[in-house]
Amino acid sequence: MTATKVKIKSPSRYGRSRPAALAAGLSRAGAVAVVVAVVGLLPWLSGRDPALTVLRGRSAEQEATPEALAAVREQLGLDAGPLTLLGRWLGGILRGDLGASWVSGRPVLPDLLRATGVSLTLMGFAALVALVVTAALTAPALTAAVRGRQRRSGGAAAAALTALPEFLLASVLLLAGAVALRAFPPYGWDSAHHAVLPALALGLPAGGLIGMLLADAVSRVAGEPWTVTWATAGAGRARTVAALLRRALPGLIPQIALVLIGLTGGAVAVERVFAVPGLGRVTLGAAQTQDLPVLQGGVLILLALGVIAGIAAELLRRAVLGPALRAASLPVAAHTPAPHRGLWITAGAALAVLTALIAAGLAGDPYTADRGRLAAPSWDLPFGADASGRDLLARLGHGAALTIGAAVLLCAACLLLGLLIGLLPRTATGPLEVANAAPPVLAGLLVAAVTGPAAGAAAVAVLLVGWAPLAAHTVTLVAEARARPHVAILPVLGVGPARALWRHIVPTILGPLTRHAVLRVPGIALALAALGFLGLGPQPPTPDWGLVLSEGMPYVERAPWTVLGPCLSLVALSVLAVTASALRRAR
Amino acid sequence: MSVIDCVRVRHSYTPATPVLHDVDLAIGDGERVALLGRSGSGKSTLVRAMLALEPLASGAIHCDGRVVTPGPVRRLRWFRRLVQYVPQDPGATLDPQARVLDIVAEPLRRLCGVTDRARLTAAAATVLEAVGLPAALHTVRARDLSGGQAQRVAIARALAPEPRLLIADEPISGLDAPLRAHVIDALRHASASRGTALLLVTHDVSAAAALSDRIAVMHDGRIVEDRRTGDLLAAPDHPETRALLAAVPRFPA
Ligand SMILES: Nc1ncnc2c1ncn2[C@@H]1O[C@H](COP(=O)(O)OP(=O)(O)OP(=O)(O)O)[C@@H](O)[C@H]1O
Ligand SMILES: [Mg+2]
Repeated sequence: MTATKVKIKSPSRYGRSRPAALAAGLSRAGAVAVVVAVVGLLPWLSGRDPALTVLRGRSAEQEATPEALAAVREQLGLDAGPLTLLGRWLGGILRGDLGASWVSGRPVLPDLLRATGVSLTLMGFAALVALVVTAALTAPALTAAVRGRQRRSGGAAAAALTALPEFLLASVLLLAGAVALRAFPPYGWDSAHHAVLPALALGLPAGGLIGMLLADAVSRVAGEPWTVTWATAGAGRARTVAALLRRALPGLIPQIALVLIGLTGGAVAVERVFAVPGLGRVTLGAAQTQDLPVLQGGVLILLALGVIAGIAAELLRRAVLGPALRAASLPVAAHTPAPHRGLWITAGAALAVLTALIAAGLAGDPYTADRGRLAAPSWDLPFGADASGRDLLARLGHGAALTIGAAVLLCAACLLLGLLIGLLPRTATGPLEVANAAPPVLAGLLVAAVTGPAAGAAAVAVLLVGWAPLAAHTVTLVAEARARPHVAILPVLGVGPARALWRHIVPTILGPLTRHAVLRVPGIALALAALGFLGLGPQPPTPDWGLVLSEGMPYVERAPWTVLGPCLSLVALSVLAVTASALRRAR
Repeated sequence: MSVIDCVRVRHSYTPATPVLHDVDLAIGDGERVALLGRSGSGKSTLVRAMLALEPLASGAIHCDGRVVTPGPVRRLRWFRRLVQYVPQDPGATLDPQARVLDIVAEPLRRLCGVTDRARLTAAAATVLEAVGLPAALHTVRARDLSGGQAQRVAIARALAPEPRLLIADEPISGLDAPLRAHVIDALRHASASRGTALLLVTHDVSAAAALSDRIAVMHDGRIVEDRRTGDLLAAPDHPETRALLAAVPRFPA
C-alpha cells in the first residue's frame, strides 16, 4: 500500500482559491506597512533628540548648546515632525536613497549593500558547515530507517551543539583557532581563510538544530506504511533514503529557512567578535551610536532578506508537497517510535546537574563582593569568583530562577500565541513572515531603541518574534493533518470545521508542537542571554545568565571559569530540554 | 419511494475531460444495488457526487424529496444522517490514535445528537457487535487493528446513525476470502435487519451477485445497463457487461 487514495474533499479546497490568495496578500501588505512605519518612525518613537546624536557623531568637543542643536536640526530637516519625516523617508526608499549617516555623513545605501554582500557570503559558508553537521546527525536515523526501524535522535552531542550560543562559540574558536593554534587570522575579512572561524561559529549550532529536527522527522516518516512495502520489495538504499528525505523535508523547510534567517541574528555577535564588516555588525554599531538612518536601513534589509527567504521556502514546500496536499493523500504513521533508554539517563543527569546548581547557588549571596577578584575555583568557591569578587555559583543559582523561569514562561506564551495565530493561516501570513524574518537580536534592537534596555524589553522582543516558528510549524502541521484521510472524511460524519479543528486536528498536532516548543526553551533562554550579553536586556547587577556571561567575557583568557560556569549551566539546561522533549511520545 | 435519485448528473475534474456523462441512478428504500465497472470508469466519482462531496457540472441529486448540493457541514447533517459512506480503503479513514468506541460514537454525537456518554457507548457497542467485532477490541486504538478489523469499524461507524442508505466503495477489495465473507455478511445483515438500502461499488461480480437485487454497470462515465441481478447475470445486454462477466467464472444462476 502506498499513499492511501481517499479523495473526499473537492480539490479546490486544498489549492489556493482566489479569496485565500487575496487574504494572504493583504495580510502581507499590512504587516509590511506596520513594520516599515515602525522602522521609519524610530527616530520619533525613541523619544531621543536626534540632533544630539548627530552633533556627538560629528565632533566630540562641540558643546550641545541649544543653538548648535537647532542648527543641526534645521540642516537635516528634523523639525518637520514625525509624519513628514516618515513620508520623506519612504519617498527616499522608493528612489533608492536611504539617506545619509548621522555620524559619518556618508550615504547609507552603498555601505549597507557592501555589508550585506559580506554577510551573505559568511552565511553561505555557515550554511555549508550546517549541511555537514546535519548530514552527520541525520545519518543514524536514516540508516535505521533503511533497515526498517525507527529511532529517536536527541543525542547529548546534538543538544549541546544547539545550546552553544554563537557569541560564546565564536570566542572559544577565536581563542583556540587564532590565538592558541595561530591557524587562522583572528580579525578581518580579506580571504576565504578569514571566513573559517566565523562560519564554524555560525554553522555548528544551526546544523545541530536542523540535524535534530530532520532526524526526528525521518524517524517519524519511517513509521509510515509505505516504508514496509519498499523494504519488502527490495528497494535500493539510495532510493529509500531519497524517498525518506523527500517525505521528511517539506514539513521542515519553513524551520530550515528560519534557522538560516537566524544566522543573521547570530551574525551580529559573530561579526562583532571577529570584526567582520557585515550587516549585523554595522546595524548593531548604528544602534550603539544612535545612527538611526543606518539602523533603519540595516533593519529594513535584514527584514527584506528574511521575507524573501520565507517566501522562497513556502514556494519550495508547495512544489515538493503540492499534489499530495491537494489530493488528501498523505500517508500517516501508524506508530511513533518508542523512546531510547539512554535518553532517560541523559535527561536525569542534566536535571540533577541543574538542580544541584540551583540548590547550591541559592544558598549563596549573588550580590556581595566579598571574595577575591577573579578568585580561582576552590572547595569553598566551586565556580570561582567574578571580576568584582562575587560568588559565581551563587550568581548562577539565583540567575537560574530568572533565566529559566523567564524562558519557560516566554516559551509557554510563544506556544499559545503560535498555536492561535497558526490556526489562522490566511491572516497570519504577513505577520508570520515578518516575525520569522526578524531574529530576536533585531527585535531587541528595535524594542530597546523605543523603550531603552531593560529585562522587560528583552522579554517583549523575544515574544515579538518567538511565536513565529511555532505558528509556522502549526500551519504546516494543520495542512498535513487536513490532508489525512481520517480528517478529510469528518464532514461526512457531521463533524463541522470547528470541532474538526479542536477535537481532531489540534490534539494530534499538540504533541509535535509542544516537543518543538520545549526544544526552543534553551533557544529562548539563549536569546535572552544574548540580549543581556549585548546590553539590550537586564541591567547589572542582575545575575541574569547572559549578563554574567558577558561580564566574564573580557576575562576569558585570564580566568576561564568566569565563562565556563554560565556556559555549562546553559548546556545542561539545553540537554535537559532536548531529551525531555524526545521522551514525550507524540500523543 | 427512492432514498436517493441522481438526475442527469454530469461532472468533470478538469473542463477538458468529463468523468460523468448524464448519469441517472435511483435507489429505493431497502433496495440493494451494486455499481459495477472497471477501474477508472467513474464509480468513485459518482459516489462522491451522490454524497455532495463534489460540485456537479449539471444535473441534480435528490434525497428524500430535497435537492442536495455541496455546502457547509451544518446544512448537510440531515442528509449525512440518511446517507452514510464507507470509503475506499476505509482503514485509512480511522484516526490511528482514537479508540474504536469513540470512532463509532462520533457520528452518533454529531448526526443524531446523542450526548449521554453511557448511551453513546452502548449504541456504539451494539453496532460493533453487529459487524462482528469482538468486545475485547472496543477499547483498542485504531492503529492496533488489523486491516479487516479496521474495515469493519469503518462499516460500523457508517451504520451507527442508522442511515437509510449505506454507500460502500469497494469495501472488500484487499481482503482475504474469509474476511470478504464476513464483511459481506455484515452488510447483508445490516440491510436485512434494519432495511438499510445499499449501494455497493465493486468490480467483483461475485460480490455484486451475492449482495444485490439490482446491478448498474458503469462504463466510461455512463450507466450502460441497470437491471435486476438475476436477469443481468443470465443475459447481459451490453458488451461491457459481458466483458466484466467473462473476466470471472460464471456465477451459477
Ligand atoms: N481528484 C481527481 N482529479 C482529477 N481526476 C480524477 C480525480 N479523481 C479521479 N479522477 C479521474 O476520474 C476518472 C474516474 O475515477 P474514479 O476514481 O471515479 O474511478 P473508479 O471507477 O472509482 O476506479 P477504481 O475502480 O480504480 O476505484 C479517472 O480517469 C481518474 O483518473
Ligand atoms: Mg474507485
